[in-house]
Amino acid sequence: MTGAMDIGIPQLLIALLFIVTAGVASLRLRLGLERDLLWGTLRTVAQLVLMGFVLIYVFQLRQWYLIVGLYTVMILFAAWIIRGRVRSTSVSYFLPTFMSMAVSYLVINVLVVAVIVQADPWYLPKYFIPLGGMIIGNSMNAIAIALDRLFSDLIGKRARIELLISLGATAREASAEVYRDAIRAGMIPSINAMMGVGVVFIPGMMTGQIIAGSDPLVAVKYQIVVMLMLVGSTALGSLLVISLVRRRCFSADHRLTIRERSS
Amino acid sequence: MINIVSEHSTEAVLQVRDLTFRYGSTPVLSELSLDLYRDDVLLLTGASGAGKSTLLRVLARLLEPESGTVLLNGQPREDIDPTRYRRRVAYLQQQPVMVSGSVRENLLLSFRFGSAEPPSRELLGEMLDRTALSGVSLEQSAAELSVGQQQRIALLRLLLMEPEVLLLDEPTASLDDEAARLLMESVAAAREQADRAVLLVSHNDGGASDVLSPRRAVLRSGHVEEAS
Repeated sequence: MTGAMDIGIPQLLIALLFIVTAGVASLRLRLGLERDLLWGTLRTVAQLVLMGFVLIYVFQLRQWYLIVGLYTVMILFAAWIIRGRVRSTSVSYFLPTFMSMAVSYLVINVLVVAVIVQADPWYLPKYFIPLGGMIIGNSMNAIAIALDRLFSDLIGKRARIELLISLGATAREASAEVYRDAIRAGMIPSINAMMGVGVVFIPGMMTGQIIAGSDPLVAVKYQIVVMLMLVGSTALGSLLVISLVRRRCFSADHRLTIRERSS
Repeated sequence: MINIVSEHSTEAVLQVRDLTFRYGSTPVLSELSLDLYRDDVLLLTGASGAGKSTLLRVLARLLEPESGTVLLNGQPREDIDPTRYRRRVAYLQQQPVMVSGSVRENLLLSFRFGSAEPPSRELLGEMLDRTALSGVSLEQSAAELSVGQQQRIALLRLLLMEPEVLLLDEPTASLDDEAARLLMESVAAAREQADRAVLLVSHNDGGASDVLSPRRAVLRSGHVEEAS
């Protein structure tokens, strides 16, 4: 591996022209996105620079509990972000979401790093944190989509669900279709990504490895693992989250208790 | 407390005592009590927003009251398995809800959730005939039916659970006079067939008087009052 060519600060500034272009378009077309573009750019630069320094430090760590602890904090943030993306209802879902994500992502990440990549030790931060970050980033979207679908269907199909309950169905039976649709909605984007990968787009990880000087075939093998890992984590994460949160939408006597919040 | 008790000599099938329900801080039912007897029809009228539908939803165990008791044949409903209770106290929604599929699939919906054997095709056909649905095929899509026909299918669907109590939530609200009469005749037949108790709520008569000769009461300010 020869490593990627470094980018100088002046060259980095040239990249800002892309944002200037978008800003001009926003002004001309009155899209009202200038503030968001500026704020987004500042955050991107600040967060990534900070992340760079953190990673330099993290990659030197050799204590498994610190790595797993850091990973858990990343998952905690992801669960927090999901809160802002899902419609507001009477059901509190933060804790079950975080717990499900933590369990499923840890299991999958350990499996990938220790068994498939065969890193030694199993928590080698250079692999554990970036791969884990990919799991979180992709699966977080899936869980947000699945949760939002679950809530919107439970509220929108209340009459149908209550009909089934009136006919003697349990909460689980009455919401079986909604449950399946929610998990399916969460999984479809990662399945679609498998269809387009290598044909429609070259994924970020593979691009990075190739630029960094890796053999493209090695990069391909990593990317295959990543794609499969993302489908697995999406499926497992959505399944656990939706199973736990669905129970919170009903009472013990199978009443549909979820309510929409106006604010 | 005004207790709506008729001259029935039999014991009440459904006894409701001091039922209180509120949506947030808005009181809807306030220490409401009523009795429903075997072979009894109680028509409960009241202004829009008086809490009629809420009362039925509480009795159907789709909403939980703040306080009060509901006894089914003398047994507190909390002691009865909720899915079993809902089969015994059947609730007909205001708008008929059909699931996608045939008339037969809709009729047999409750059998998906229990261990009872579904009735034969012949028996279902006879039921349709008796409910003035002789032109309807068991295999046709339920979505193709008129609202009146769907409401009668929804009623038959409940009757197949052999409930002791029927809770009817403004079932004729979206029906024309003829469809409303046909539905009420089906309700009358269902009542006679098994001495069922019927609680019908409606903002007006709902076509019930001619066919069912019900007892009458009014829901006002969260209480049940005898109709004048």
